[in-house]
Amino acid sequence: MSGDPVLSIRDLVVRFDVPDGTVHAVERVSYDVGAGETVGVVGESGCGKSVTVMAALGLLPCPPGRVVGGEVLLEGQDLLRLSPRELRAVRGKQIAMVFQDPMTSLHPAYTVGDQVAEAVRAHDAGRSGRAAWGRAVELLELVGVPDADARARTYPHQWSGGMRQRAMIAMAISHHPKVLIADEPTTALDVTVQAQVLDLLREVQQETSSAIVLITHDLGVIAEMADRVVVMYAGRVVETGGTTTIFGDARHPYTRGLLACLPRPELEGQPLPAIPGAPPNLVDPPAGCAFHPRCSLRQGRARCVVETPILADVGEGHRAACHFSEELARTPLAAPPETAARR
Amino acid sequence: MTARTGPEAPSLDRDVDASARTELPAAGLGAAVGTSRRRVLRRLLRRPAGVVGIVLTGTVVAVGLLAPVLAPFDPFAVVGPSLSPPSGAHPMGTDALGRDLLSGVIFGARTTLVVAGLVGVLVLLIGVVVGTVSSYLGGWADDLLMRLTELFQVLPRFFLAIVVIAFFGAGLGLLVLVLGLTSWALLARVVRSEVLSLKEREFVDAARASGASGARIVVQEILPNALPAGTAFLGLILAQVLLIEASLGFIGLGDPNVVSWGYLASQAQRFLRVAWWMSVFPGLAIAVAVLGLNLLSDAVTDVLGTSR
Amino acid sequence: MSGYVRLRQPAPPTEGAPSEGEPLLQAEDLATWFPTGRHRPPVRAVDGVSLTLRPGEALGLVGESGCGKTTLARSLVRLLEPTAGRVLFKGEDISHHRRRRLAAVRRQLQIVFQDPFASLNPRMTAGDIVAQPLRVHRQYRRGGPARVAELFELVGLDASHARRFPHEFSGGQRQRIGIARALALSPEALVLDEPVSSLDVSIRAQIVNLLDQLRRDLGIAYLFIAHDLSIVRHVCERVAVMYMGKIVEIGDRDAIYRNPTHPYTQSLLSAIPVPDPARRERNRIVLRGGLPDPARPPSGCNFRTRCFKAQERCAEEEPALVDRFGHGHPSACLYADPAVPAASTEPA
Repeated sequence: MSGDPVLSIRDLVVRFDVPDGTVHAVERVSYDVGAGETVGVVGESGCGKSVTVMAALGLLPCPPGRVVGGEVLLEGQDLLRLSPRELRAVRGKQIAMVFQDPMTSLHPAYTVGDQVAEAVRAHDAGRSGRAAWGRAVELLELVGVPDADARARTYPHQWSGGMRQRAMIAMAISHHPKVLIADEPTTALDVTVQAQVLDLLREVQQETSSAIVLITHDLGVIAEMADRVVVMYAGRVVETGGTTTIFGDARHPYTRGLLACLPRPELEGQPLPAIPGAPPNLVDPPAGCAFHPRCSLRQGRARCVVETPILADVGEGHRAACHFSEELARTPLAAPPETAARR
Repeated sequence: MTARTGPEAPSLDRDVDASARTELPAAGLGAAVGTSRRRVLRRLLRRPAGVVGIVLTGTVVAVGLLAPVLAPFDPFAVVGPSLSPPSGAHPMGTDALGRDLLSGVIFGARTTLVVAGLVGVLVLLIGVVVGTVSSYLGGWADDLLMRLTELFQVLPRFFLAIVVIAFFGAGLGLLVLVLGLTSWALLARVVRSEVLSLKEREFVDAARASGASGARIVVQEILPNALPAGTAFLGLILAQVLLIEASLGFIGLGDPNVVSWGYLASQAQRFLRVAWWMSVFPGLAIAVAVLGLNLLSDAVTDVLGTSR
Repeated sequence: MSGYVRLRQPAPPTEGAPSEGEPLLQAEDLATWFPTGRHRPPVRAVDGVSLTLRPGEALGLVGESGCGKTTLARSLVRLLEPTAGRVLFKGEDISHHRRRRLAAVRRQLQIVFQDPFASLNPRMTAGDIVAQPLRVHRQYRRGGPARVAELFELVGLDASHARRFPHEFSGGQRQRIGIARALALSPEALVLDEPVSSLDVSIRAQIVNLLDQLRRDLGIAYLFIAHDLSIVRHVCERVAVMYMGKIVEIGDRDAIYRNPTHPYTQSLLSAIPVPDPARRERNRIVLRGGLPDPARPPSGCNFRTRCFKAQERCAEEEPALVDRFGHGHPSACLYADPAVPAASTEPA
């Protein structure tokens, strides 16, 4: 990454108070995004990847959510210290978001054009309604909505999933945001439509040179889109590095496990090297390294249970949170060590 | 668009809530999905409305059950000077005939319990059967039963009860019958809408795919999931029933052979100025029972995550 | 595994040679339409599908959401009433069976659902859920509890958890419960409707392995429905591709994945994001637009509105699903490619 990061999340800690106790949803998570850069945040459901950005933008429902510590710097300004009013001025203007389900993100009773125009006027009250509408149509054209002027006058239910996601992207880029946060933007879409939306995100970035935080569970999407990858597990960042590095030379057993268990033609007729067990309950996470009950690398070593590994440099811009990551340096990626094939 | 205020589209925030929720780990999710009875109780006890509701309703039930033990006197026996204000011997005072008001209120709880219990059974029976049959069968059966339900929903229950009592004379059994037969409409509608959504659920499909009969599906798969919401509404219905029962008693149409809070309040009518205790204590008792049922059913609705 | 599980020994599925024999489950010109209103044409969710599932084989059915694959699955197990056509199980037409006769068929033909949260009754224990098919078919009295314990073990669950409620299990475990329920009556065919798509990546592999293992051990035939093509490739020997209610291409795994002939299959394969950054710059076919209104399908070929090869003739003539080149797999395109590897396909 070159220069200062646009968005920098530092040691963020988020907890949820639930009937059964306290969920340690995000534990000292840090990552940066630079201008024009796409950072892919990958992890399974409940790993804290979405909660991190929600908390960063003050969008966490409180209660039960609670930001316990850390800072979120947007060009040096800590968003966590802003008043709700100041934060609202930042959201949608300097940082914009695209969510997974474009149907629930759009109001069913207003036309799509109205809603895009509303987003335009939200941070530009001086603009007249007519001008905002014009800009809305322009934005819809920009994101590839055919016949935008007429389509803008129709309602969300008349739009397909892919088109609705385009409308959401149009709203998100209406103020040339410095950071675009896309939370599973294509998960609800079909592969052929997903390809269109990913292409669109790429184009938008080239045009606006926004920093993109792309949150997804799909390693394929990460490989296609990201410059750098942040891998999260059980509320922590377990590995971070350049995309090629992560996919070619992962040094955390969880990252390795995720990559290894994807079906590949070479594995036809063999069991997939699955990661055994399930992600932990974050009310009562395992002691030491949260991944140790599922880890193929642990091999009974006590250190994993006693000491929580910190994110340490393992190479150029490549960090992993594993006590024994150097052992992975000697193992080829295709054959993850000692993978338990089946439970 | 003017209806929506704030500098950014609120629809965004709405979605945020949703995605934040899906990120909550299993502990939070599990509680929101299926819940065993013990869990429901535990969660009820965690909210003020639930606690107050349980305490108030529980008190009425306990007092009603233990009335002969708790009451110091026979509620119909003349045991003291007439119209004496609350004192050590008569904590709620006495009425015009010198009967102990505390004993009256305590035995009144028993009447309330009987009315609520019997009407509850009737309402539950009719409401659940009508709601389930109409939604599960669908088609003309649904149409017919729903028109019938609407008819009962717009029926002026209070006046109907007055007319029936005027014709056949006052009696607790008759009162229960009239109220029970006319109060099930709301429950039937709630059960129907629950069943309608439940019968499209995948676990019902799974039961069908395994070859289960319609009766088995209704009894095993649908009703256990529809009943909790139904019982929450039953509380509301019974609260209304209690008010009607009290009102009937108040205008002198209660069963003269049993003590009820409405009857006690009606006795107080002529002495409103001279003997405040005669109206205040029965009135408080009515308020406690009705409030308790309302709070309880609100809390249950809350806990179950269903909205009205 | 004790003798109570009826072990069948059809030829274990071997590479490239799907077991021949009497067809187990067949659809003949099956159509399931949904009415949409008095003045609108019906949605043709499934519109003339014919396919055959042979004993012991795994047939994959892929397509995007809204293509009708779930409707097809539900019509095959008669959770939905087909509008036209026939469903045959072991040669017996079950399309018009009433409940009692259907129940006999359902012992041998079961379904696993996509959503492990919605498909389990939240108020029944895991043990009761798995035991339900046994109770329905009056098989619980003799050895029911033992059978339930056996099923739990079979799918990798702790039998001592049988008294827990579904919400006390994780997503993967819940899907195991759903699979155990489907296996309770020792069926010969399983329809699996997106059984792993709602699971996390690390759990998905576990369930895929479990399904593979079960098929090997029990000799059950799978109709495996998914939108994830890489998982279908791993699990299935034959693959059918569906678009707007019709099958557009069907063939052996290698034929479909190495040599797709229908432009839709080609674009589907090329659109999957590949978890390999080195292949980011490969040529991809990106389709235009989305699915047309299923109540008003385009004339001629359904796919022509998004197709990169569409000609005028495509609007006039509906292509039949036929084997145009005799290389073993039929495809419903007038301009089907005889042999073009997916990776090097250029959009026209």
